[in-house]
Amino acid sequence: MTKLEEKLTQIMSLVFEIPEDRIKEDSSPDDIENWDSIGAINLITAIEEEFDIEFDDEDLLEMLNFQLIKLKVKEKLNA
Amino acid sequence: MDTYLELLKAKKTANFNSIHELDILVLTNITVNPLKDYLEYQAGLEGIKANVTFGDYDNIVQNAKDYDLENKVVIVFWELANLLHGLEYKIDTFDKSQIDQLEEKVKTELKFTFEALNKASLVIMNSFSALAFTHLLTETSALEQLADRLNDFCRSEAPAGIKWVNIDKCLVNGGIKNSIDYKGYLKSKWLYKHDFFDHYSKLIQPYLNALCGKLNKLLALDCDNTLWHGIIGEDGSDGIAMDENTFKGQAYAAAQYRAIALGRIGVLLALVSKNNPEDVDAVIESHNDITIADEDLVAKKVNWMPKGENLDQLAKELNIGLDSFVFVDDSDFEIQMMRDQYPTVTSIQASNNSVSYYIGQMAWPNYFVQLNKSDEDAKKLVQYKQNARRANEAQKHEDFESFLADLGIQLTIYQNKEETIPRMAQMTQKTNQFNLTTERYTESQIEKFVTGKQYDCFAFSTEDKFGDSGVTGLCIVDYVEEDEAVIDSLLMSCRVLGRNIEFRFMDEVLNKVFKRSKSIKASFIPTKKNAQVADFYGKIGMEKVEESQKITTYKLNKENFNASNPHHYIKLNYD
Repeated sequence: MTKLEEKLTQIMSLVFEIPEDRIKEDSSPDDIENWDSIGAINLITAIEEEFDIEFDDEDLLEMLNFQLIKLKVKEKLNA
Repeated sequence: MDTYLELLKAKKTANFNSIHELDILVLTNITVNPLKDYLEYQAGLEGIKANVTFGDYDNIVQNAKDYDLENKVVIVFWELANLLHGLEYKIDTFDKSQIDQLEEKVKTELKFTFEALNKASLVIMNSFSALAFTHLLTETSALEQLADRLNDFCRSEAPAGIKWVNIDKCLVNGGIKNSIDYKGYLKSKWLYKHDFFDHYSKLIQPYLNALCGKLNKLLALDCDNTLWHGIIGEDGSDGIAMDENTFKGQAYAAAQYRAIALGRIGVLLALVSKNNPEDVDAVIESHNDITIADEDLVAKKVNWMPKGENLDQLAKELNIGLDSFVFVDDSDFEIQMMRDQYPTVTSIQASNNSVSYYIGQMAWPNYFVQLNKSDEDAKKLVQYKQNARRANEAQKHEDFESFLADLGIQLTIYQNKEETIPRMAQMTQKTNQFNLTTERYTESQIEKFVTGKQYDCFAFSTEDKFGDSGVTGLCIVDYVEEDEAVIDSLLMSCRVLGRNIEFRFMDEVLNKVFKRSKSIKASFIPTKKNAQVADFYGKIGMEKVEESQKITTYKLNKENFNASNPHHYIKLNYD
């Protein structure tokens, strides 16, 4: 796991209150109970804080699972 | 802790040892979901397991009516700017009739909500604030005026039991920049961020503590560098400072005034200091700048013993729990020692920087927050001092009964008296030791018992030749069936114990109950603190029916009750 993946896994585990080993590349609202509309906002808030980045509304539409979030964060960090 | 994520980490790694549990329901017209984590964490630090849930988004009135609020804490976030979408910039385009219409609608909703929230065990509401949207404006805006009018309305119409939180205090602590999330607000009505939630959860915590019966009763102050600046044993009477007209002394003068003010609301004050007693006595009696006086103090423990032992002894003398003590001292050593040896005492370190000390003192009253205040509070110091005198008198009499007879005790019983409601609610919240079921009730709940036909509420006050103890005990009887009564609550303040008053009181209560009912049931529910009454019902002649770790039940039939009161020297009155 890369450093970025580790951090994202940790954040998701904290926000959604599940163990880290339950978070996979394709984890999404479908298999994580607390990932509802409120959970999604909590997650975005925590990620924005941790990486000091900011997402647009269009970004959020694309952040549908772990892998896609990772790509979006990478993109923001390299921008 | 500077971010939400750090809070989440701290919450996850914390290993809370919770003795209390609270269900908290948050009703809100904006999005405040992270509040759950902050409240649960803050309460956890105090040994309270908080279960926070939310009502539907922007549906406060309906939720207040529909949800089961029994035994719940309800927190209401009724955000001014979201009374209607974009109110903060639209309001200045409204004409007077539009504003009036909106205001009337909100007032009606508030009224309905106040009514519905009556069932909750504690309601915390935020007063209306326009600060987040008006802090850049020179003149008072229409939004601020609306907030003022709504707050006036709440002050006059809301039930007294609702606790109002001025959220501007939370904004001031972190500043608008760290407290208000304008981006979140525009995107998803997400108005607040980390600093706000952090300060908010800390600000309301004393209420949650009070609701769980975690109430402090005594403030124990060190002397050197706490009550005055300097060390009396080294600097001498002229070398110590507490003159409010000097920079050096003012923080210490302030500390004395603040302690005395707490005394006025019923907090007991004591000194605990490692010094020669005659040195401290001389300062208290005759120093030119001293404000605190002997009559403000319930005890002075000035000696060279460890301070923890002194407090432990004081707790026994006053018959109150060590966990209701707050200890202030400037010394690292004393504070660490107390935290280590007597962790149930709340220890506060007085800063050696007099400005920090002065600022820190402002929060002292937080340690003594009560849900219900009553006139009895202010009399307490006198009563504890009377207790000390009674103890001295008792030593003179060889036979305890003759001593009691000599006291001239009078017991006055109040049956279903509305004037005693606030005091009864307060007693259910504060009494831990002589408390058979430890049910906690709010004023509105007690009111139901007092006015409801199914219940009888007996409260009593006592006096003797040393003074009046005020209303200090109660018994709530629930006539569950035609022939059967159940004692819902029975409790009494520890400061009237040891005079057989409890037996005389119960004798009379049972007498009354058996006029209406053929049998009575009662139960003892053990807690960490009420072991002393484990077999109280047995002692008054009730028969044990069932016993388990969680509850012991008793029963008494009318034919087996004989009012053979041996304590006839206690004179009985009814009010």
